[in-house]
Amino acid sequence: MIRVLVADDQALVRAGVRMLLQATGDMEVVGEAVDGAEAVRLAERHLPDVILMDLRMPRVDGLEAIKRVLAARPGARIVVLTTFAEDANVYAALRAGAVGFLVKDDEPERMVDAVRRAAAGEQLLAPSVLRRVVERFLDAEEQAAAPPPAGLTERELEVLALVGTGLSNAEIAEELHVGVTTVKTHIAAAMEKLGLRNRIQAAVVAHRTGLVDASFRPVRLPRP
Amino acid sequence: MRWRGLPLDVLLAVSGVGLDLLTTAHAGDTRYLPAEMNIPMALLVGLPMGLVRRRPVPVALYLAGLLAVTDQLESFTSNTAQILVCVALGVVGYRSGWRATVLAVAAAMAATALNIVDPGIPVVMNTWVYSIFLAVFPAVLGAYLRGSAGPLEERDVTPDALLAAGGVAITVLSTWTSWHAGTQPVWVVGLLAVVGGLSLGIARRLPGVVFLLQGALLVSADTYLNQVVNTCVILTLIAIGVFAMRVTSWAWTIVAYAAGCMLTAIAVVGEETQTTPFRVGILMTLVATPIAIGRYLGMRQAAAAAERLRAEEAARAAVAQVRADQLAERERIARDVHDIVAHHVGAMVLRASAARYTAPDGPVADALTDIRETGHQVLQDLRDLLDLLRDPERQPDLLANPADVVRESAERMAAAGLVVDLELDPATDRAPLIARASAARIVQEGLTNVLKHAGPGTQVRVSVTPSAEGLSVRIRNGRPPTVVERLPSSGRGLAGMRERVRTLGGTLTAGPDGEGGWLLAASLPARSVA
Repeated sequence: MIRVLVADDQALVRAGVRMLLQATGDMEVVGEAVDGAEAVRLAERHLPDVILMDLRMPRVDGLEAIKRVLAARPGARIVVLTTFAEDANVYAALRAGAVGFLVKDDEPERMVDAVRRAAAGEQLLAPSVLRRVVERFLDAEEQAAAPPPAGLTERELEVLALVGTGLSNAEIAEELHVGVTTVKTHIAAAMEKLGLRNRIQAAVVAHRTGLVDASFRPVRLPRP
Repeated sequence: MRWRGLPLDVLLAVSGVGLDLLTTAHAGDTRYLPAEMNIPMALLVGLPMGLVRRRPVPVALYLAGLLAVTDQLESFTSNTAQILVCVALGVVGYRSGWRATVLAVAAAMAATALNIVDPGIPVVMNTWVYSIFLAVFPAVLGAYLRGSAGPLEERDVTPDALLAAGGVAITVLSTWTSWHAGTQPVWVVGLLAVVGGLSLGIARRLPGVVFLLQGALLVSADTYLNQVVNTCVILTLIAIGVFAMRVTSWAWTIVAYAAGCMLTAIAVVGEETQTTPFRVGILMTLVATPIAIGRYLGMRQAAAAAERLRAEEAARAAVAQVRADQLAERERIARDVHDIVAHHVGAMVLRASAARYTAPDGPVADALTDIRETGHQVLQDLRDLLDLLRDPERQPDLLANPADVVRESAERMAAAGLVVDLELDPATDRAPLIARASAARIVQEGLTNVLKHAGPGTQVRVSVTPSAEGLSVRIRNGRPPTVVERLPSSGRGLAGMRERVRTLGGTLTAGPDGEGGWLLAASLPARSVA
């Protein structure tokens, strides 16, 4: 059973999600929050597998709630629920560590599938989205401002840089002449060492530490 | 200027031929030419006048050459050529750049000198003066007529009436005791005195013409009726003052000053007058006085006009600011409304989707599908509208095909009198919409500017073509066909275009093309702006 928490100020949405997930037979809604503050409280109480979080809620908004939940429990998997994919807050949420987002008029099948994949710890974002997110949210002064990440193997740094350029796992595998599984392993290891939750954050780190330049090209680091 | 005013060209050619036939009609066989050559010679000298409005410089050079040839052949046609070359020089001065004018004037001077100097006629100072004057005067006149004095904007005729009344008072009161003294009939002198005085009334509108008239009166008075020449000097000085007030160009002011000094010298230098440097200095200083006064008044007027314009501009800017604020506020409200509506519709769609997902097939499921589909459509529309609101540059009317917008504005401007030559490369349809839409806006704005500043009849070449980085827009217009009054321009249209292009990451240049026209070039990158 996948345990899901829904946070949305609209009863319609909460009822809709509950109905949809119950119909699948392998998911259940363990809590419904009407604002961000309640979402944080219920997330602590129920420890759900996946949190579906609306961004526009009264009092504490979704973005703030996401930050608080992740601060308390870094492993939490949060999927953003939004009306507009272009909403700037969606990108901010992804950067804060949400694993993906759903648009409210997406196909129901797609929603169900997204919740399942999020529960399984998969990445929901297409690499192509990543580039736009990074472009939008990386200030010029952030570019290459931090020292290169310590404690990563050369191969892991290389893979991290390519993640920062917006390539998919398959493309990275092709670039480095290794298997996709190997790439996944390297990414997982690098994210684990740096305490990152999703690909967006990995890309941002790659930019901030100068592994990637402002025009999205990987930078050859001098060997230590 | 395609074949606009063709009848005028025909008339010019016919007049040229006719003039020569009249002057050579009595001529029989000459030393080199039999009498039957009269008509071909008339055609040779007269027909090119048909081209003088379009190609003044070649025509002037041709006539100068013909003048030299006919003079050597001792043909009577040389007289006609002498007259027509002066006319052509006037057109050159009016239409062409100064380099071409200098070239034509030099050629005409040489030919005129050759014409005047004949065996048996001694070469004196006057010969040279005439050769130079005959060639320079029409060219200078033409250049002046190109519009040194802007049209008078004020409707108030009080200063004109005062000038006219004052002029008549001066001329009549100071000269009527000597109206009978000369060889001319009294009524001629009186009439000239009244006309000369009254002409000051139009001096503010036609400063150059009135100055010429006063100069002519002074020279004839000096010749025929010396008693009134001092009055003429006064009128001439007033005319110079008005000229300096109305014509802002320093070059023309200097020309007027030189002419004024010459005219005054003609008036005061008699048979026994001794010319000393001191006297020359005094005379030149005195002539400078009305120029200084006129210039001062002209500058004060210009300053007042500029102040008025600035005040109007400030008021307009304030109004525009208020309207922009209102518009921004309305946009904010619209955006909020859209957001709220979309938020709720999204929830409704999600609810309907979930219900549809769990419901068995049947009429209820169909109803849910309909609701879901409609809601989805509404959200799509709202997203498009929001995009528009976020990007106020994208105007709904440009969501039409930009190529059509370009074609329409070219047609509209052609109807308004521009001669538009449009090159719209079909390959540009592959550029992103935002670049094409901006190109269309630039064409609209650019053509409007051409119409505004160069006036109807101007030739414009518009090209929208693909370039290495995206789209290239070029709007180039030729020299204005007639002198248009410069409309006041805020420069806002150009600034707006520049801003738009900059937002897209492109470049825009605008300026004179070095051939009397104007070139506006923009390059728009093809990368879609996210």
